[in-house]
Amino acid sequence: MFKFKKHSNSVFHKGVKTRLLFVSVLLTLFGAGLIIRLFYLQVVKHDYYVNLSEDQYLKKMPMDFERGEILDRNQNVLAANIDMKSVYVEPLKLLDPKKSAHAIASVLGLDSDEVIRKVSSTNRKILIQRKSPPAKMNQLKALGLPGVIFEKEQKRFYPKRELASQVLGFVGTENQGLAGAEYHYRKLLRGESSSTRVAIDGEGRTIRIPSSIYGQTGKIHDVVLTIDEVVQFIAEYHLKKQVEKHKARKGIAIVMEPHTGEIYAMASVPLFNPNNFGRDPKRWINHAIASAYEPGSIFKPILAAAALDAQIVDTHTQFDCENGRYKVGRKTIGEASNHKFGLLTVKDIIAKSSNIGSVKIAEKLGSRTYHDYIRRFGFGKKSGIDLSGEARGKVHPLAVWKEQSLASVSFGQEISVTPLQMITAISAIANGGNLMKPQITKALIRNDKIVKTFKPEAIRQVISQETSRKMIEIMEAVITDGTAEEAALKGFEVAGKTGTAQMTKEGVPGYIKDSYLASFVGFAPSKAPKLAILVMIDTPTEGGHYGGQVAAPAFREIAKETLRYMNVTSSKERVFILDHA
Amino acid sequence: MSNSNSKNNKQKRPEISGDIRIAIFSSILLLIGALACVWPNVTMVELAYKHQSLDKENKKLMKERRLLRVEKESLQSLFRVNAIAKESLNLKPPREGQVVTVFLKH
Repeated sequence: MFKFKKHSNSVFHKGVKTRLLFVSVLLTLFGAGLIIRLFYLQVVKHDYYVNLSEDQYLKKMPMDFERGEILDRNQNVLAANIDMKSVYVEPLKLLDPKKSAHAIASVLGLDSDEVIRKVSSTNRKILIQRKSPPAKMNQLKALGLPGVIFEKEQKRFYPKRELASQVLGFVGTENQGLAGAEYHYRKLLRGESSSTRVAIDGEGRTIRIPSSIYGQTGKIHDVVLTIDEVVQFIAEYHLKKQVEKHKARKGIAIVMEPHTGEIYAMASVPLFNPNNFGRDPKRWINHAIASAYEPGSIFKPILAAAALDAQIVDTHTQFDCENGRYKVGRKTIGEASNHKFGLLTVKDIIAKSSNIGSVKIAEKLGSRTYHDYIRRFGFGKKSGIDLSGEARGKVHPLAVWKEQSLASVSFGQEISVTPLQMITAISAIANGGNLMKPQITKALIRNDKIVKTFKPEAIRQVISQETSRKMIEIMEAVITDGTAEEAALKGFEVAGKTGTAQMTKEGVPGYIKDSYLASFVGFAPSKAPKLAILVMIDTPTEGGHYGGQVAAPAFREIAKETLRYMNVTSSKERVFILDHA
Repeated sequence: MSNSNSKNNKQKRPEISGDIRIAIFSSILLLIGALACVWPNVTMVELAYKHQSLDKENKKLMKERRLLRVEKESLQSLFRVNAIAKESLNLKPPREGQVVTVFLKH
């Protein structure tokens, strides 16, 4: 009995043990299964389930930061954005495709056959017209055609139309900068689109907005130019008038503040409307920076300044101008209009624009020193203005100068300069000898705050203050006793220089017959200059071709109106000072 | 005896009312606590609704302002003003002596 009991007891224990083991294994497997599932849900599929839950209570809120604006120095808008709509069609939703297509084509002014072809497509959505005018859009909306949808887009708009068109440039269909400041500042101006996720309620209304989105403007900046809308208009208006009067090919004018290098106006005629920039790329070129010309006699002040600064000559040093004929190597130099001069002082050589006198000054100065001064005045290299497409001009290295090169360069031949380089150099003469970096950008604005201002930048002192003073005196004589009577401004002292350069054509040797570049560069009031102005008229064909006849009157009108606008009073003007009370 | 009973009653009453008071006080505290937790959320949701409608209005007004600004700038285009002055109003640039400059003392 005892034995049996012992036996049955051990069997019982064994059975319990086995069952316990079985249950434990089951429980362990179950537990392990749970842990594995938990790991799968929490770790492996974490992102999936988070997204799934977020999709239920979060929605994407689009945030569009539109393209930055371009403003003038007084923050008048030169380039802005307007909301436009593009027209799309969902062909499958059109009730009567042919009839709808005719209606759409007649409202939008499109070819009916082309629209019919588009709506016959099996695509889900077809573009009919991008950035349609708002009036046409409203007309189309009023028709209430099913399957016609409208999508918001932005269009660049230039409210001043042709004003400063070559400086501003324009944008393409995707609002990408293609020319001018629009291209140069493309990274700062470029619009952005992004989105943020906000919590919504059951009806889709926003219930929580992240504080981080307040006051965000993306990376977009507004660009403030140094251009003054009024001065730009004055320059363009008078330049255009002069180009039309003389039936010229084109005209260039630059108005600069000589002490800071700030550009108030930069005009190239013919103008174009950047809202509809057309297909004539020649009109898009900003010739003030992108084209280089042989300057002719307006280069003589550079020679005189170099000779005076190097103390080779003084204003009263005399030179024999050989009665109008002077041989340099195999080349005979003559005077413009077959003038014949005898003894002339340096002052008279510049005032009367004597070529032979200039050659003689250059010979006394020497090639190396002259070449060095030319480079110091900034010719032959880019000025570094904040605009794309600037030309370098051409100053041949001293090593390749030929026998007559010194003579030719002395009166502005065998060298090419951009209008911007020329006005910058003359500004240095006007301001006491400092070569300033020409400036077209005044500031950058972000989120309605000025985040960067561009300060005037002096490149180097090119000539001494004493030389500058002497040069002003010489250049005043050009107006009072020389070739530029037409540039005289009543009530103001003006200094300047005329130029009539023969035109060349790239790839064609020599000069083109009867093709001239009439120019005038000057500043006013001469003793305390507020403005430096350059006017160039390319190939005038009627009413004369000399700089004093063609370009000087435009200089006078631009200077007169700009000085009046800037409240710089003339000595002939009545001035009243009134108490505010 | 009755006197001693009433005395006892009087002595027990404050003990019961004290418990109730504690219970009421605790409930009120709990309610305030709960409200304090919920209230900011309710306010936030209400403000979000308000914000949304104001944002919508703001966007509409900003769009209108932008359009008007561009229209104003367009109308002030100096080429346009010059053409109106000369052609419609027959204005001419001032002759010599017709310009008087007035400076105001500040």
